[in-house]
Amino acid sequence: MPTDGPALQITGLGVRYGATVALADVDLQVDAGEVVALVGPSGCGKSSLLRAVAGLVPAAGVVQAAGRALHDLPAHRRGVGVVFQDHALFPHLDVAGNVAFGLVEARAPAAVRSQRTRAWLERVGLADRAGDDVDRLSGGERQRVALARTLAPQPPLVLLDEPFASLDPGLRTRLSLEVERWLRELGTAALFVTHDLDEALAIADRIAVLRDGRLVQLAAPHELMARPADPWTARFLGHENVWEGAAAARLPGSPAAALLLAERARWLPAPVGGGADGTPATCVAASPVRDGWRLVLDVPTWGARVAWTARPRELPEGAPPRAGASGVLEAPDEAWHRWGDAG
Amino acid sequence: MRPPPFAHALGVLAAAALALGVLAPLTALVGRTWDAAAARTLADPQLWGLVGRTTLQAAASTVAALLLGAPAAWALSRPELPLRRLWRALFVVPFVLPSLVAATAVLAWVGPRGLLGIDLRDSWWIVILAHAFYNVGIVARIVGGHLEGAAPRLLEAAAALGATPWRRAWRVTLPTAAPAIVAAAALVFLFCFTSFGVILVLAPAPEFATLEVEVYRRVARTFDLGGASALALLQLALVLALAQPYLRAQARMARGVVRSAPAARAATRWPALAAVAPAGLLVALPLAALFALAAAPPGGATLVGAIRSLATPSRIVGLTDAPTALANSLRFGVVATLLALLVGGAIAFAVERGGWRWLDAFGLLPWAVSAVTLGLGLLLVAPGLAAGAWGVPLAHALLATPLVARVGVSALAGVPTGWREAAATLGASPWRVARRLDLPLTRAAWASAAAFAFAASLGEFGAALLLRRPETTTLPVAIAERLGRPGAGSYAEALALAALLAVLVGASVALIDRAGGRRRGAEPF
Repeated sequence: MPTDGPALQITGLGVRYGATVALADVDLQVDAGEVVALVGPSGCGKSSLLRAVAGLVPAAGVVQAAGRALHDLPAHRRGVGVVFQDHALFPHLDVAGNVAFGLVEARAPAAVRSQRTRAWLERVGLADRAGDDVDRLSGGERQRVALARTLAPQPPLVLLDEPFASLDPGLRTRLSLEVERWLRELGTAALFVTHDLDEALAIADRIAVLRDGRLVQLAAPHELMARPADPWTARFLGHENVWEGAAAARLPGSPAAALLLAERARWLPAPVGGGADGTPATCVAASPVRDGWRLVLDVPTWGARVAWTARPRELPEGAPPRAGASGVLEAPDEAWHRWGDAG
Repeated sequence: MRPPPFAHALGVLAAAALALGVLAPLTALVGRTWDAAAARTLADPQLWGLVGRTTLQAAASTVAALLLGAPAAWALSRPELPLRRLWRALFVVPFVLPSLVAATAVLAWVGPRGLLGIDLRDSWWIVILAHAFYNVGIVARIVGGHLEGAAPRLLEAAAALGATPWRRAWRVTLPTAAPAIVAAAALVFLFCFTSFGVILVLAPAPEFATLEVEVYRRVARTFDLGGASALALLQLALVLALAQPYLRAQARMARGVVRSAPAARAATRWPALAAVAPAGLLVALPLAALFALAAAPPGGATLVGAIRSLATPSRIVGLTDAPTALANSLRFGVVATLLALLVGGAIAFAVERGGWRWLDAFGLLPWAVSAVTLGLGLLLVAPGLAAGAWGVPLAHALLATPLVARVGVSALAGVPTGWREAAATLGASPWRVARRLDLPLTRAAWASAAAFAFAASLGEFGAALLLRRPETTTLPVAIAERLGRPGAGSYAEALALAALLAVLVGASVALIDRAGGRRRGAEPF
């Protein structure tokens, strides 16, 4: 496997469909063995980016993989594996025929081909289905065949377009973890599109956020969550406590825009005698969520409401506060992310 | 994905074949038209009478086919119709049936020695009846297929909104079927307007002649090539103009299709049976009459006698013997099918994989140029070739090319782009994608295209008649030779040959179509 240069280096990548610009001037790098997730709202250009890298749509810009220029090559010479959202299994070939497809194109000797096909079928747990028609497979099985088919020729770089979108949640989590393991074992670099942020956070080394065809941010998961590039990205990532303009000006330090990282703040119900230090905050609503209670806190000093998730052990007697319960919000400086000017 | 070089190479091949095979003959026709005789022909008031009569004839035939075919179409879309597959198969029969066999079958039913005992020969009745027999299946299949795909969910919605069955028929079924009805009507009108074999056999008197018949007569009887060329071009212009409504309706039809779950069965099957019965009888009765009379010929002749005389090489009476005609038909059929697959396949790949969109429409040209016109054009541009052993198979290949191209284009368009992209990302070059995906996935379509092309060549009459020489006579021409002679003996021979040709065509369609594999093949309409 060539190791000269990153697994994928994109410079100034642009895709347009007629007058519509789907992707504009995107720079992105995926290091060898690295897994990068691509997130963004529908229509932001995620799939266009993958298709441009794979050579399935005409694109402007430079695409290099391991020091090799790909942008002038047709799709079949790029050596980039793609897992398609709808699997795109070939209906006229059986399970083994699908997995072997790329090996046949790579002119692998018959012995190597059958050995590797068998190995991959075993790895994905479909060894006993080798001769089956693909249309008799379940959704999860189809997905496994698609993955095995893509990985069998051992491409140094794999692109996955929402590979788990069509699966139900339990299967989805299991399979995504399996895929991550295979990628790590083989040292394959991967760029995968997902609309599931949890999936991206769990699997990816770095996450790229796309908006309206532009790359907004590319960062490691914790970095991305703690320091989103702008208020839009913060909201897209699921942060609720984001303020801009006049609303932000009333906050401590009067920033142009600010994000309060709720998990680094803490709300304490006011003891009868008082004494805790922090900003007074009244609980106005409490609703159960997976890992505790989601509280809506009214902070009169800031003229703002703050959403905060309380874990049971953080609350006296593990019970949710009643609406109207008073308390204080501890928000140390590291709980804040401030932007100089609102983006 | 970028169009691969081989698709362009196929495009060049196909374009060259069409230019040589169709454009060159047409140019020769235009050249011939520039003489005084041609100008006189077009100024002749008798010609415009002929055009007017043919228009009325085609309109009446179309109305007859619609009146019988539309109810049958509705019935075919109903799940409660008993023996639905059998009815459907029955309505394919006229489509693949050679015109000469159709004409002979109608003759066996209501002709001079017909089973019904009434002689309608040389009347408008028999022309319209034969055209309705020949085309009712087209109406039933086009409209029926459309109704089946589009209607059920909409009808349920209309019912839920309070529409009675009649209101549903009026406000939902009819409007959704309208584009299909228009498409079917336009196609039937075109077929009847350019009818040849049916007219020549059933109504040979001059007042029933279509332009196509008139072109043939000028070439064959008076050798008026200039006049024939002028008429052929006039017919081509009219056909191209008349084809517009068909193409527009077909485009609207493709847009309107909403696939949905099949309709629920109605409580009683009688309405569906009553709707399909008239059209079914119209198709079944002449066929039954043909086989009945072939088995027991009228006027004292016998089947055994007919077969014996057919098998005898009889140059003295000027009739081609059956073994020669059969061998010619089969040989021409094989050659024409292979050539049509080559050119039609090249068109389909160039259109679908090379982006040669214009070739799609250009490839239909042999259909607009009728068989007799094409034969005449080939005769003008290369007399030696056209009248030689290769003339008829070449003409047949050209005539079958649009059919293969149509089937091929729609089959290749049906291969999802995603599969081809997946193959490309797995390292398959466009050529390999064509070999490993396109061909295996469309095999059934090519097989049925081949079957239709072979059947079309077996049954083709116009070009085969115009270009015939004793040693290139095909089965349909051999039938026509015998129908043109008086006497119970030659009539019995014609019946036997027509029955043989019908069986041959049916068997070739059934066999080759089956050889294509389990997956469903495509149909040209």
